Amino acid sequence: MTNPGSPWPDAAVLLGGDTSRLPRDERSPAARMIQLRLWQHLVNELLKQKAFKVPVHLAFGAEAVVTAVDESMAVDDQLVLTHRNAAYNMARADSLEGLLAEYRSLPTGACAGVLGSMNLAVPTAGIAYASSILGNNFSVACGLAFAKVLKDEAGAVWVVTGDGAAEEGGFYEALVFARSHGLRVVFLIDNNDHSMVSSIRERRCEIRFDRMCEAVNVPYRAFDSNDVITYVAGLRGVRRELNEAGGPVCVEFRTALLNQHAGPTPGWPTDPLSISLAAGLLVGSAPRDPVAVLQATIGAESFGRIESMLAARTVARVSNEANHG
Amino acid sequence: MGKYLSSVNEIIAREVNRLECALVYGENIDRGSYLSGLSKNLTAGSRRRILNVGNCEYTHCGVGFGVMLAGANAVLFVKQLDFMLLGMDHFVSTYGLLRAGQGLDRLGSFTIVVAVYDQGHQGPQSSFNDVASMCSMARVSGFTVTNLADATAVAEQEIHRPGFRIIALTQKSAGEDVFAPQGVVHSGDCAAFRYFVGSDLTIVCANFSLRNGLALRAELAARGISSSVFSVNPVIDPDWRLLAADAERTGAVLVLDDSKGLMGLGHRVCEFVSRCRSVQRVHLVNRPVDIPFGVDLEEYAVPSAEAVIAMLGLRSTSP
Repeated sequence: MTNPGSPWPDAAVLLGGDTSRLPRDERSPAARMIQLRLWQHLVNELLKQKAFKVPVHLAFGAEAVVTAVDESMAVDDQLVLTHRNAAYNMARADSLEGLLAEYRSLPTGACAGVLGSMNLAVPTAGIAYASSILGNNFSVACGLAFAKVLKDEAGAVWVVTGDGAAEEGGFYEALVFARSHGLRVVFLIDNNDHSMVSSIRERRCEIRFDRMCEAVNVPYRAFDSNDVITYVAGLRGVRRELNEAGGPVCVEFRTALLNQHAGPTPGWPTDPLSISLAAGLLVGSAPRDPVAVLQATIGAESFGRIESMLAARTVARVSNEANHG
Repeated sequence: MGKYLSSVNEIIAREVNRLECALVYGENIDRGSYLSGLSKNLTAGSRRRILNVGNCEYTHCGVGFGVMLAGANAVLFVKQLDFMLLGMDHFVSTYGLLRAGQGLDRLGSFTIVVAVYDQGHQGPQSSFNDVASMCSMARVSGFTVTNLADATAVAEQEIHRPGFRIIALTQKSAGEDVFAPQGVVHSGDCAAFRYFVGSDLTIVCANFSLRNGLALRAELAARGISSSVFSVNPVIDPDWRLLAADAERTGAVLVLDDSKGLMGLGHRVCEFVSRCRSVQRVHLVNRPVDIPFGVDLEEYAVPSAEAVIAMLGLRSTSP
């Protein structure tokens, strides 16, 4: 059932399979981030098997940011995403089943198989909207935030973007609009230095988001350690600030994109990027891979315990499915 | 009798002022000329905000859809239809996604009220007037209001309805006496309005060509030809049964479309009436592709009565 030297099942066995969630007493941010990495691996293995018609945009390397956002959102908060939303949907829904069915366009999907991958927004998980048009989601987030003012509702709106989408004029317009009207919006820039396969240096001049925010009087915070524990504490602080001082606020994370833009990694026979669950959960080294950063932070023994627990539950689930198959 | 723009403004403002939990916004909507009168008479309420906003039309459109997604209401006043080309991404992509994911019954209402400037002297750039083509790209409903009857029906029904629509007024009629027809009959979805019933010809007016259609009807009447007159709106899945019944009765249809679109609402009406029983003569009059700058576009909007009589083979009783 497992490959020699790895606690993880052979990728082929996972086709059509799912994994079990962590038990209730093992739901620390660190453990949940490892679970998120595992789920991204599972989807990547399924993508290799061409299990879905829809393109899925995974986010290996962004797990610390995603986990911190999930841990920091208040009950009344809403999340507005981009096409690279798979990891956020996994974390917020805390389940893989509905997403896999959605990617298969099944009526049992998280959004009845209607939204597919790039527009997937599971409303019951606090995700209001996900756009595959770069720069499209900022103004919609502002509208959602304004509705909270009109309805005298609590909560903030978190809108996620990348360094590519933040090049769009809509980003600047939304910053101005949110600042002008004091909207409780968290602009969250996942700066992974890539827009598809172009690095920032390859496609444009530098944009100093800190100075851009300063110009329109929007508070700006930056994080670059890839340490999920630091990120959770930092974003919870940002959220508290928003409650006390009002909005908006802009947060920039420096991350690494460790997988291909869309679809499986590797994406072609000579692809220099390669990800395989059989090789373990890590796909890079610290500080680029937040899972490697976590492993160094909590120690190999603690990390191994969580990994083994997830592996046992995954293998048990796969075996169970095989027995009933 | 009141003027067109001020009268239609009063009707629209009355309905907007009835909205609860609403964001009413636009550039300079509460000061100066009030967008040449388009946004006068708006009042704030306990959960209705009147908001003067900066110049970022793309964001304004997205904000409206965000408000709508949250179940609240939004009305965006825009000075000129040209500016709304910047919002096309939201009309097409954002609204398409919201309709797929949420269902209309869970959404609030979002209405854009906009003026169309196409008198011909603003410049080659500022003259976009094809409301129907804009609506067609996004599969949304639009309404080109030209008189008290259609303005009242559209405002009362649409501004309170969940979902998105565009209500357009024409600047070229701004200072004219408003047309206040009596006995107007319209379809439930405001896709077709009938103003007159005749026996020889059905005149169908698309975009803002009703004034031309009414003038032509009078000219034809002086020559003994009796015409029905309709205006139509680019509504999703339009109910044009009124129009079909009239066309089948007269057997001759003249479609006027003063938009600059090449494949606009006028073409769609022609295709529709051509499939009606007993309709043998259909003619579309629209603007030529190449219109020189600075001319009075009215010259291009409507043929003479004699030309209509000839092209449709009508029998004039005048000498």
